[in-house]
Amino acid sequence: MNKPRNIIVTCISAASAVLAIVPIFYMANIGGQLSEYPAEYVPSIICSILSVVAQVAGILFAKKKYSKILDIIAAVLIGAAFTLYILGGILSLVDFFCGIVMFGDPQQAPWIICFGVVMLLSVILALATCFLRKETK
Amino acid sequence: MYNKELWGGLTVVFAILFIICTAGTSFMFSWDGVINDALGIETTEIVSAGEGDTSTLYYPSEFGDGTVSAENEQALLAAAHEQGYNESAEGSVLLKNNGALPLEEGERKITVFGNNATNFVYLSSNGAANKPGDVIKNYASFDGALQEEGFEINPVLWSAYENSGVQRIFQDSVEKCDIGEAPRSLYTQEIISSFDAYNDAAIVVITREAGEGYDLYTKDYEGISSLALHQNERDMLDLITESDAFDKVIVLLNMTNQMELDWLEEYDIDACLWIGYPGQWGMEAVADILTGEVNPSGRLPDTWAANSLSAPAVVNSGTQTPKYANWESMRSKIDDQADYYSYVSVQTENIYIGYKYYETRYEDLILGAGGAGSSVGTSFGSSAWNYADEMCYTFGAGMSYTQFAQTLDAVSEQDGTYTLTVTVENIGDVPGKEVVQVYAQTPYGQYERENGIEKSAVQFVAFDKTDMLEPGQSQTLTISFDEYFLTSYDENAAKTYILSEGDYYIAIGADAHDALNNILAAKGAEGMYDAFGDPAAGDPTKTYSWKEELDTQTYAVSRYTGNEISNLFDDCDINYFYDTPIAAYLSRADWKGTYPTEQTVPEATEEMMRRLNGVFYEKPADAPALSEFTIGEKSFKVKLLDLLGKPYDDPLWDTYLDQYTVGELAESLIDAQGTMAVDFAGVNRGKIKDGPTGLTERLPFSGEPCTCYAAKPILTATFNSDLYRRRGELMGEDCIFTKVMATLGIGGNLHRTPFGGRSMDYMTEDPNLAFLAGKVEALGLRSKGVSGAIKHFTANDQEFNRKGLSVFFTEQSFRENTLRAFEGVLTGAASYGCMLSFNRVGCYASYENRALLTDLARGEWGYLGYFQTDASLFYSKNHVEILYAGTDLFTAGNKSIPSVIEGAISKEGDGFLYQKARDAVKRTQYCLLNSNVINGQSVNDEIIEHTPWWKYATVAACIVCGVLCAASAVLLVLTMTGVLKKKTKKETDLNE
Repeated sequence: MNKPRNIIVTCISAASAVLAIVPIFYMANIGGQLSEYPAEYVPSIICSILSVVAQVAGILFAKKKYSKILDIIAAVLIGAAFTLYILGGILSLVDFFCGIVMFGDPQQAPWIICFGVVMLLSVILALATCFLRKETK
Repeated sequence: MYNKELWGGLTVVFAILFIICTAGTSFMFSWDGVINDALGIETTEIVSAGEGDTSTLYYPSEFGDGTVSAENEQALLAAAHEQGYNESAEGSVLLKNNGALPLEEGERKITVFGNNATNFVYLSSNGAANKPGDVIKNYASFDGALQEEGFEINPVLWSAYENSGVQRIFQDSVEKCDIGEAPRSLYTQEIISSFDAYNDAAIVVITREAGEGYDLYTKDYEGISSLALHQNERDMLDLITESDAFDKVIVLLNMTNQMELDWLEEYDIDACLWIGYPGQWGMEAVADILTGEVNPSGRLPDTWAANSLSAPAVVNSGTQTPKYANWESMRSKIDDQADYYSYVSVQTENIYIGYKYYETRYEDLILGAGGAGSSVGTSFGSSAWNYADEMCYTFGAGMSYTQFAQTLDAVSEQDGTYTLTVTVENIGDVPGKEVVQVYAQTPYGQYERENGIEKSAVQFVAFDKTDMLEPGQSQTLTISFDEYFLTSYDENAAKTYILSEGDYYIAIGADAHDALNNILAAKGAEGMYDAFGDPAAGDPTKTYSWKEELDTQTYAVSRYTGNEISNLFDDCDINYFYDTPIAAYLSRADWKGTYPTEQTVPEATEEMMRRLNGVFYEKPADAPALSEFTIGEKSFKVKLLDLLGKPYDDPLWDTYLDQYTVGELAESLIDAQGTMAVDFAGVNRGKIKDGPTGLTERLPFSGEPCTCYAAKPILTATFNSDLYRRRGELMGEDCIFTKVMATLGIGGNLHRTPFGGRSMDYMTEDPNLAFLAGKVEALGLRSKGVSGAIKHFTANDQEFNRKGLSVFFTEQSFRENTLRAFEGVLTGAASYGCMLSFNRVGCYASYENRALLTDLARGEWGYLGYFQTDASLFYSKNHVEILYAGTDLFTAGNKSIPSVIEGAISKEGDGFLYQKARDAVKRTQYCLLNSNVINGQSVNDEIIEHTPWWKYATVAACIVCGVLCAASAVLLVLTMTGVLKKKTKKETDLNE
C-alpha cells in the first residue's frame, strides 16, 4: 500500500471540498447580505453541495474498487457549479469592466471574482485527484 | 493507454469543457444581440430589389455628398471637435474674478496645484460614454492643452503629483472614499523652492467625481459633506498662501456637482472658473479662457449654496435615504429576494429645489412673510435665516471679461405667448456674449394658501444669448415663452392646471436673485441685498407686471391632445395611504413648521405592500378574445416601409400588425442593444446606444470612437440654443454613420440636490430650462433621423439605493418639476424613444406605472414613441404588468421574456394583453420607420438575416468536447472493467 500517495489524494480531495463549501455560504447568503441574488445561484449551490458529498464519499470509500467514479463525479459537479456560478455573475462582471450599469450589478463583481477564484481552485484540485492513483488494497 | 487515472482525468476535463461549452452556448444564444453588437457583427443585410435607388437616402449626412464615407467621416470629426470646443468656451462659468483673468501675455509660467490635475476628470469614469484617456486616445489633455497655449507648468510639483500614489476613490464605501488630494507632507522643500520659477499664477484644480451608481456623500470619511473643502485641500491652499510666491491664485472647479465655495473669500482666491467635466476637447477652450482668447459666457444651471446640506431636499435623498420602518417584515409580502422595495424617499421639500427654495425664502424674509427668518434650516449656527449666509452663487450666475447693460424694451402677449424685447449693449472693453435670462413670479394669494398650492418667488421661463458683441455694440433680442410656464398645478381644489388670481411679474436679471430683486423693487419692497450681503436696490424698469383672474379652465385640457387633465398621482403622496398624514410638505406659508429637519420614515401599509409587490394584472372582463383578431396572416405582404410617410393612426398599421404571430410580436419586445430584425416584414435591426455625452460607438472608417462632448451641465450652462441643437445634430450624424436608431443621449432628471451621482448626465436643477434645452437637442437629433431617448423617466434623482426606491411627492411638485423636465422631449414629436428608471413613482415601479406611461405620457402629452426599461437585472419579473402599464421594450432582455409574454397571452386567450403587445411593437417600429436606419432601403428590398460565425464556433466546440468526453469515458470504463488492460509478461509469452 502506497500510504503517502493516498494521504496526498485524500488531502487534495478534502481541500477541494472545503474550498467548494466557502462559495456555497456566500451564494446562499448566509451570514449577511453579501449576495443580493441567491436565486441566480441555486443551480450552482446544488452542484457544489453534491460535489462536496461526492468528495467526502470518495474519501470515505477510497479503498473501494470504483471510488474513482466518485472522484470523477465530484470533479464534474464542481466544474458544473463553477460554470453556472460564473454565468450567473458574468453580466455583473461585464458592467464592472465597462463601467456601466446595464446588464448586471457591478458592485457584486469583486465578490464574484473573489469566490470565483476559490471555486476555480476547488475545480483544479478536484481535477488533480482524478489524475492521481489511489491504492485500493 | 491502460491507465484508468489518465482516462478518468481526461473524462473529467472534457466533461467540464463540455459543460462550459453547452452552458456558455445556451447563454450566448440568449444574449446574441448584445454579443453581435459587442463584436461589431451585422446579422442583417438589405438585399436591394432595384439598382441604385438614390431616393432612399431619407436622412443624408450634412457632410459632403450626404453619404456615409471616409471623407465625410473626417468632416464629421472636425465638426464635432469644434462643437466640443464651443461647449466649454461658452459653458465654463467664471464665478469670481478680481482682474486676475485673463492672464497677461507674459504670464505663462505657472504652478498647477491639485493632485487631481494629473488624474483629471474629463468625464466620470463611471457612466456610459467613450471616455478620454480610456477609449479615446486623441483628446485635449489638461496639461497638453495648457502647454499648447504656451504655458510652462512647474515640472517639479507636477512630477511629484504623478508619483504621489494618491488616488481618487468614489466607487467604494464611505470609509474608503477619497477626494484624491495629496497630503501636506508631499510638498517638500525642493517643491516649495520650485515655486519661484513658476510663479505667474497658481492654478488650483479642485475635483469631485461622482458617477453612475454613486452619489457624493452628505457626510464622508472626514465627517463633512463631500462638497465641502477637505483638509488636504485646505493644507494646499494654506501652503499657497504661506509661500507668498504667486502673483495670482486661480481655481478651476473640475466637477459637475455644486461645491460649497465660501472658501473662495476665506483664501482670497483671485479668480474661479467652473469647468465641469470638459470631455474630449473642452480643455482647449479652458486654456483659451485663461489666456483671454475666449471670453467666458456660461451661466450656472444650478445653485451653489454655502452649505450643501441646507437644501431642504437633502434630508430625504441619496446617502440619507431611509428604509421603510417595517422593511424586514415586508419580505413575507413582497416577492423580491433582493429587497428592491425597502428604500423610500419622501420629497417633503415639495416644489422647493435649488434656487426655488433659497430665493422664495429670501423674498418672504424681505416681505416678512411665512416666518422665513426663523432659525430652522440655517447653517453655521445662525439664529436667524439669512440669504447671504446661505448662498454662494445662485442659478444663472456667471461673469464675463466685459460688462453688459440690458434694457427691457417691451413685453407683449398674444394667444398665450409672451414676447419680450431686450436690448443688450457691451459696455466693457473686450468682445463678449451675454445671456438674457427671463424669470416670472406668479401670485401666491389666499386661494393658494387655502388649497396648498406652492409658488416659487421666481421661476426661470426663457432665455437667449447674443452674438459676439464688440465693445459699444448692442443687439436687440426677441424672446418668447408660453403662458403654460405661468400655470400652477392645483391638486386639491381644481385638480388641474390653473392660472392664479393676482399680480404677475416678468423680470430680466443677471441671475435668479437679481431678477427677484428687480421684482421686489417693482413691488416697492426695501432692504434687498445680494449674495454677498451687499445692499441691492433692484431695478423695476427691468420688470413687467399685469393682473389675471383665477382661471381653472384654460389649462384643464391638454395642449397636446385636448384630453382633460386631472389628478393622476394622488397615490404618490405618502399621506394617501394613512388616515392621519405622516408627512408635512414644505410650504412657504409656514417655513418654520414645515422645513424638513428629519427624515420621513414611513411604515408600509398592507395596501402599499400589495402595490410594491407589483403583481396586479388581471385579464379585464371585457377583454376581447384572440379569435377576434387576425393573427399571423402573412399573405397581406405589407412591409414596414409601406407605412413610410403615413400617419401613426393609419389603418394600414393594423393590417401590417395582423401579419405577426403572437410569438413574433413577443420577440419584438426585446432590446438587445437594439430592436430585433423581422425579415418577413422588411424590418431591419434598430440599434439603441448610450449616452448623454456622446455616442458609445466607433465610426466605421477611421475606427475612432464617436466624440465625447462636455458633461451635460456644461452644455446647459452655455444658455445657447444653437449649441444645444448642434449637439443633437452632431450626435445624430454619429448615429447616421453607425446606423443607430435612438440614443440615450439626453438626461432628463433634475439636480434635486447637489449630491446626485448623475449630475454629469442630467442638465440642471430647473425644469423649464431642462424642458427648453432638452427639446432643442432632441429636435437636433430628430433632424438626423434619430430619437433622443431621454432617460431615466422619472424621479430618478439619486444613485444610491435607486433600485426599487419608492419616491413620494405632491402632484404639484411632480408635474411642475420632475415631469416638466421631460415634457419638452416627449411632446411635439421631438423624440420617439425614452428610457425608464429603476425607481418607483409612488409604490409602482416606473415601468409598471400605468398612470405615468399611459395616462400621462400618452394621454396628456400625446407621446407616440416607445418606453424601454433600464438595465436587465433590476426590473421586476412582472413582465405582464410591465407590458400592461405601457412599457414597450425590455432592455437587455434575454429570450425568456418573450415566452412569458406569449404564454400569458395564449394561455388566457387574452386579447387585451395581445393588443398591448401590438401597440408596443407599433410604437417601437414607428420609431424605426422614422429613423436613419431605413437609409438605403426601399419597400421592395429584402432583409436577410445571417447566422454569426461565433454561433457555428460554439456549437462545434460543444460537439468536439462531447465526443472527446464520451471517448474518454468509454476508455475509462474499459480500463476499469479490465476489458482493456496491459498484458502481463506471462500472457505475452503464452501468446508467442
